[in-house]
Amino acid sequence: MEDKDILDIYKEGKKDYAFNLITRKYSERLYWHLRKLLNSHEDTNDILQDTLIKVWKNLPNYREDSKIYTWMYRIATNEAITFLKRQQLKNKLLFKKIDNENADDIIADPTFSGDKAQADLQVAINALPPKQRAVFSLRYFDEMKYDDMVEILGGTTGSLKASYHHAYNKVKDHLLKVTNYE
Amino acid sequence: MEQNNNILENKHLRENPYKVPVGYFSQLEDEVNAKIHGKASLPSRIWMKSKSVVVLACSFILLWGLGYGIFNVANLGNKSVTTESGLLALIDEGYLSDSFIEDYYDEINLSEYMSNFEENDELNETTVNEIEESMTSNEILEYLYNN
Repeated sequence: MEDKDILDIYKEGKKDYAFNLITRKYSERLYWHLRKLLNSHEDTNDILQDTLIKVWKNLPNYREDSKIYTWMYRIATNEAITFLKRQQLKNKLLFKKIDNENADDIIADPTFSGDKAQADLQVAINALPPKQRAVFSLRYFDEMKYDDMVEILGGTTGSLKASYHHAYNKVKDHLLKVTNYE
Repeated sequence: MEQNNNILENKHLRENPYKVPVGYFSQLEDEVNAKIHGKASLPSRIWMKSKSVVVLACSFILLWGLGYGIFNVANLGNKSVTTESGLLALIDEGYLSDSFIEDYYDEINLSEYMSNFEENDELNETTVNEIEESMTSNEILEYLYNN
């Protein structure tokens, strides 16, 4: 069903039905986007549910100046970035070891079915600052255009390109280090 | 060298390495609707709403308890005063800092002095009265000078 039709159903007063249609249509895509940022299924589930609840609360104010999916993507990404920042701060204050700090931790996760190379890549991504992590994930995995990324993350295409360039080099250097290429 | 620069261009790295629990997406809608419409269990709802207040209250109780415990251990204001060796033991064990003892040691001694004085108060008054009745002024002065 097209977004326009779903919004029409919502405006007719069938709010629950329209919201469920949105959830069924987009939650899986949002889940995988969040999962690449957060790694753990539990954290992803929490943030996804928070996102969907925010979507429900803000649907009355949705202005249709961007696509529904872009709007939801923006909410989800900001929720994830806020969560990551909070987690980083908490780990620093408690002198706690960061989860998934090495490839073995990631491979030990029963919901991870990749190989060592993919685990190494995830370790490198986890070391990026939260917003840079989001930029890298959106560009590298989703191949999102910078113009669309601006709608989600804000900023300018120039700043996002620079951010991706830095992130790309950091991740590449890490992979070269762990694979011992000459 | 070229291979090094292209390490991230390996298509395999862009594949999704994660799995999701079976049935997750089918129950997601129900879980979200339950949260939105407040159909979560009552204890769960009460807990979610009061969690931050409970955590804050527990922190204050814990801090108060620690302070009260330290106060009792040091026995400030209690007639049965901790001996000096007892205080040193507490310092060695890490329960009290040197600076704490320096700040409050005089009060500890004062408490002991006061408790001893209070116990002997009646006897001292009786002794003084008896002495006053039986001695001359010079004898009293001499007595006070020697005692």
